[in-house]
Amino acid sequence: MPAIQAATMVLDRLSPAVRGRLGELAHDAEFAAGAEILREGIDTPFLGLVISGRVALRLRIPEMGDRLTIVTCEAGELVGWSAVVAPFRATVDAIATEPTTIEAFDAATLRARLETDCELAAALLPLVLESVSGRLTASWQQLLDMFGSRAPEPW
Amino acid sequence: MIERHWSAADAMGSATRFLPTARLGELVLALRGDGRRVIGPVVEDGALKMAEIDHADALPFGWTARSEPGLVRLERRAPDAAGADRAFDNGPAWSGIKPWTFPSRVDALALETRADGSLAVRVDAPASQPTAVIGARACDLAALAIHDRVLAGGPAVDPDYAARRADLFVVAVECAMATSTCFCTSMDTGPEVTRGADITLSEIGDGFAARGDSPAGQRLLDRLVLAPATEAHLAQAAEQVAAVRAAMGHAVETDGLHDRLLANLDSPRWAEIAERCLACANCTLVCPTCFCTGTEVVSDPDGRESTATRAWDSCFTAGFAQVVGGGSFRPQHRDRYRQWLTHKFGTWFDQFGTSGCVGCGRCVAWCPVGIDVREELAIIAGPVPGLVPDAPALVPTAPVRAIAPAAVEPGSIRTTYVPTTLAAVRPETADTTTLRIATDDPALLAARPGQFVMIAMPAFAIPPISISRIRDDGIELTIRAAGPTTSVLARIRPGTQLALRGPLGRPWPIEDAYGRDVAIVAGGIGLAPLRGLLDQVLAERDRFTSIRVYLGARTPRDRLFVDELEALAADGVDIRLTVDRAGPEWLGRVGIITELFRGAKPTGANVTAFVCGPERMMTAVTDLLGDLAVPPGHTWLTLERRMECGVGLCGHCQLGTRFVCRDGPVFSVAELGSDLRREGL
Amino acid sequence: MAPETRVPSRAAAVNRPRVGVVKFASCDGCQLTILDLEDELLALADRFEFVEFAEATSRRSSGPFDVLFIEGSISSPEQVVEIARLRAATKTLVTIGACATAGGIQALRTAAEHEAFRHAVYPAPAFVESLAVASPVATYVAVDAELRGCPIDAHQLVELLTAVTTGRRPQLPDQAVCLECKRRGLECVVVTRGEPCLGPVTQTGCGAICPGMGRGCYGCFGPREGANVDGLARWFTDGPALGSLEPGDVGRLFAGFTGGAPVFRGVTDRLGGRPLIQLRPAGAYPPELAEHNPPRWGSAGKEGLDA
Repeated sequence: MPAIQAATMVLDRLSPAVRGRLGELAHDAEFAAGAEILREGIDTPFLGLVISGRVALRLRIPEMGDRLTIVTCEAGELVGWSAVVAPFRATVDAIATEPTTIEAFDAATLRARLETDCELAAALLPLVLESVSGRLTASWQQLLDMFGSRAPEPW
Repeated sequence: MIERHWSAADAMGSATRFLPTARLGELVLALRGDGRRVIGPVVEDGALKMAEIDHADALPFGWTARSEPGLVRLERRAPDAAGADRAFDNGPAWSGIKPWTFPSRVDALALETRADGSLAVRVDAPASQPTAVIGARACDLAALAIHDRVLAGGPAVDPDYAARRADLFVVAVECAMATSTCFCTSMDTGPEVTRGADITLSEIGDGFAARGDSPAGQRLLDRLVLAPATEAHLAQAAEQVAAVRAAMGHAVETDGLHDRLLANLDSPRWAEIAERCLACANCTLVCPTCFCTGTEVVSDPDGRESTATRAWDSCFTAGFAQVVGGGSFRPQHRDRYRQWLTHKFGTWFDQFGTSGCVGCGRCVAWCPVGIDVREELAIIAGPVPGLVPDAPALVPTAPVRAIAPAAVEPGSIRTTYVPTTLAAVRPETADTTTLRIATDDPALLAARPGQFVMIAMPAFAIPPISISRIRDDGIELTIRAAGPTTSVLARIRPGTQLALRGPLGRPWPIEDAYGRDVAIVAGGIGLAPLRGLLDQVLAERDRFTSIRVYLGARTPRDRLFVDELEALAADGVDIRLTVDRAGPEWLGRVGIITELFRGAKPTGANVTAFVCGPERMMTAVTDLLGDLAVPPGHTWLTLERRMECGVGLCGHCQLGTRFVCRDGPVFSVAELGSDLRREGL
Repeated sequence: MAPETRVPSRAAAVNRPRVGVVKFASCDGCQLTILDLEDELLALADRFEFVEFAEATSRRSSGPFDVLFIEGSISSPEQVVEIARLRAATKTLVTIGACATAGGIQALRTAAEHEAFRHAVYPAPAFVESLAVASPVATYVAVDAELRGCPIDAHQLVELLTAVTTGRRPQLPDQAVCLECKRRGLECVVVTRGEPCLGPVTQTGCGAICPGMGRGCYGCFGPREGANVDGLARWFTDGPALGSLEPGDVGRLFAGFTGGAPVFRGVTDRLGGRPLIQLRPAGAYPPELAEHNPPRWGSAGKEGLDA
């Protein structure tokens, strides 16, 4: 799996002990291309680390009768940060655009563990925050629409 | 470069004659007799202006001038002890020589679409005529020497200036009076006339000590058959100019000024000046060295014939640093004042090896709200705190720092247009089109990736367009319809003729990447100038340890050169692509371009990166490459600035010490330093 | 849409863009400036079909217009309705002159007591419908381009029409008058004579006519981009060169033809200098005189929007 080797797994930055304790909560989830991983507004089932494949985070736009892909996640990235951030509901639809493997940490179990395992919380939550921050700043960049034509002029 | 640096000393001594005031008219007549129009200071509308004169009587005999910040008054003066009216005790005439050597408007290019559809390109021969100026001051001559270097001493020569300059005969006057706005002593340009004149006059008693400074000047004085100046004459002349020097003092401390000024780009004083500064541009227009120009296009209503005129422009206007899309790089008055002052007294050294100021004081006197550069310099680039007089400076000093500009062959850049034919048009996306231009012009065919051309067609502005491919039979240009000119270019039909000037600018330094990992990073239309580079890198594939291409597009539909790139990817070239947004049918990556580095990081000192895209994207990519330990000297960007001439003569695209068109548009991050991110530069 | 009553006679008649020139509250001076073009006007008539131009032709059109030049400010309730109709019938709407672009001299009433003005100007103001403010056209509808000045520079109008036909952006500089002044080789009247001049804060386009006649610019092209009016006003009131003008006099300098432009109006608001109009005593005009001056629009006694 060269893709996995090439990618930096964000959770590899946890200490071996913490990574091990987190691993105890994990199960591998496989998704076929087109499978729905998260649905906007529904409780997020897990915090996941993409091992391979690609996940598209999409927003539904009813009047366009369509979904718009905001960002894609690839090997090494977290999906489902809302599993640990109130109100614990997904903020987007997440769809696998190719066969995808995710190391998933069940949301309720993880939250319960984070309340008691302060070392795990102190190590994991900054990584989640980093992921959210990356999405946020990327959204700002996209908002600028830098590659689009700039403000139209009268002439 | 126009060489006029004979030594004044060569002509000293016996060569100095005495020209009685009553015979000054003979000098004027002799100059006119040689077929020259004669320009001299005359009193007009309450000020001294350089104007054509036909007799010495037109000179301002009996007038003196009072000059303060924002205030100039001419006053009658009683004849001197000997009963003589003096003509030149009134400081430099406000309009100077510039209108005669570098007029405010010059027709630069005429285009006409003929009935058969072909394009006629006409560049008028410079409308120069033999001209003599009488009454030029030392500061005026210093300004001429600076213009010689800027307009005729660089890789591109302004043909109009060069012709007018070659036709100029200068009768200088050594000042016997300084106004309160004069500060040539500070700038080391006067009051003594030491270079650049053909004849130098010193007004003494009832006549002039007249020194022939050039062979032509000496010959002219010979023809007038004048008695030699006496020792007493020479002594009086020397005494006068010494007194002027003493009176002027030392208003501007030039020691280390370049560095002190550039160390204070963030001074709060810029904003304070901006409250007073009207950004009216008067200072730049009366400055004898300011050389910035803009292009005006006038056409007939059908747009078949047009004339492009080069007109004085100023860094104080909003349009000066505006680019397609309407944004200005210097939106605020403080940015514009900073640009002017730091260029004149700072970055001019880096670009031309001299100060841009000659100390004539025109900008002080003719500022309608009396802003005094001498005062502002003292505050902004003031003495370093704790520095006591005569103590060694804390910052490196550069008094009149003679930084030799890059060795260039004057006139090595071609400034003429060649007619070419649009051979084919290929739409790339809804708003982007590739034009294939057929030409057998050897210079265009020898273009290198990263260079650009100026495209002229009747009735439209002349935009710079980067070359997206260099072929055996021509070049390709990829254009996004962002403004009216580019929109028209994107719609023209094959067979149309276009006038091209180029190739211009510094190409991508491909050789810098030999033996290294190449990362090509392109956002949006930024792929156009990198396409030619990719062609060449692939042609020399073995010279690089790896080649990776990172592409960002707005949406899947806005991808450029899709077929070509897919073919390359199929051929094993590592091409990664992300889009800013996409519908559900798109299965590729969505996200910002820096996310592409996640999967294949260009890491370490062995990487050479070539980056082009919007400036914000390039800074984001630059940051990330820095984090990945790619040395700043190995990251190359191509910048967008307003370019009107493309050859470093119009001043629009200046960024700190550089003209983006001539010194770039390709720069390394190391070369740009903090200028890359500095607001309002 | 009214059918055209005359067949265009010129050879280039086919598909000539339809151009109109209409006026609101204004003096017609800008229209006359267009007529002053003379030779160029004939060339323009070859390229464009002037379907409405009161000062030049008796032809009338209600549209549609490819290019419509509008002179005058919006000063009465009927004009508010009419300008909206014209906008809908027009592709490229261009305001011309200080009235249409900044409100004009009549915008002086904007900051004053409207009733006082009405009484000062009209014998029987009850018959006159006028808005309390005279506004630039852009207050009511979108404007595609504006040609400044009192009057306009007709060559800018030619440039604009040329730009429309060729598809380029018209070159309408937003710089200070000073640039053109110095390009013409004129000395600065502020510096040599202490003459107050609005050139540094006024948009160029006139060719620096006033400084060329030895007087200060009175700002008829309105504020330029980034006009530092406070900096200039401060120099007029406090600077040594002008002998320190009274604030009210400086305010008045900015209260001219483009005094309604917000940037200029701000100076007058701060420094004073607005004209003071006294209410005319009641009964100053006998009612019978008023009856002989029927209002142009509407019925006698109808209340204006501002009443």
